[in-house]
Amino acid sequence: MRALSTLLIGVILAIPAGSASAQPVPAAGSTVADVRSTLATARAEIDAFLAAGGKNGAGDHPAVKWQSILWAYRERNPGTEAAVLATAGAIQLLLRGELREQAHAKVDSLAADDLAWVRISAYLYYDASWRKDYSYLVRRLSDVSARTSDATVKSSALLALGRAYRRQSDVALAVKTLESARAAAPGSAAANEADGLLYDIAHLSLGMQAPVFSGTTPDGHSVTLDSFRGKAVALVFWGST
Amino acid sequence: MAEVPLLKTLHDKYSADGLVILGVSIDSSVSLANRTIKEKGMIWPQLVDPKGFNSEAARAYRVDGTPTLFVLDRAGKIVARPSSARGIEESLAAALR
Repeated sequence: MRALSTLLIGVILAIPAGSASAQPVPAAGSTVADVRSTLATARAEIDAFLAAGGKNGAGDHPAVKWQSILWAYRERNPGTEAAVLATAGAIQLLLRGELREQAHAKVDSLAADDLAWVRISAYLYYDASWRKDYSYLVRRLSDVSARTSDATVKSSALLALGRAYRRQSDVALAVKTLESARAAAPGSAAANEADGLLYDIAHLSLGMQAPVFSGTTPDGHSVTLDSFRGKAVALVFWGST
Repeated sequence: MAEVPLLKTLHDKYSADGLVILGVSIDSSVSLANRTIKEKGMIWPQLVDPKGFNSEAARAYRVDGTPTLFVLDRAGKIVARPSSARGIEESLAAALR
């Protein structure tokens, strides 16, 4: 039974994919690929609008039109992966277009279990850190993380909150929140990111003893960081490309 | 490695005061890294590792892009994490104290 339904879903998903380029507006039954294609079209139109002198925050910004197309798609296809992507994409277009009132109104309308929060949490963090104003993020994501019953939503919301607290230099609260993010959905992308940030806070903050390592020089000699003690060290990680 | 000329200036200016520039290549091709070191004239100590971003050093410092920079004082404490080589010099007063 499971194999059959998987097969059927595969067939259903495969059918509209080929029409993606001909149809910028995702129709009912569209796939993730169709929504991605719509988002690419929207971003290209927004780039052209800005290049022609259009301003972010303006009422005639193309993000207004595209978010409503994406939102209508979401409402016609509730609960699908493509709808989740359309939802998050609509919010991202509005935030990048600095149409925050509209973005926040849409965000406020989402249920705490909506899987779009996984992406939206990150978008709210990028927007807040760019503006250096975390008040909306903290209010909204505190509420979502407390009310959601979905583990990945909880972990993602707590990760964004923890990053925000860290940016606001509340290290103790950042650590507590990131630990909760890590515990909420072990193994998820958000949990792994929280784990990395906790390591960063514990070992790579200013004033910490720098982690010791050993390595090999181009002529094959082994070197440890310790061997430079007594010198100041500018440690430069670099790549050829 | 657009920042090599600036690193070279820092190397020339502060080596006598006790600054070591320690380069860690994230190239997974050691021969490419070695060629870049020679061609660009990176005359300060270098570490190369075919594990690239997964080397012991890159993992210990959570390196996920380049350049990634840390400035350590004489006792081995982190005094700065500049976002580019231009930010190194302003942290050297504290690092060389």
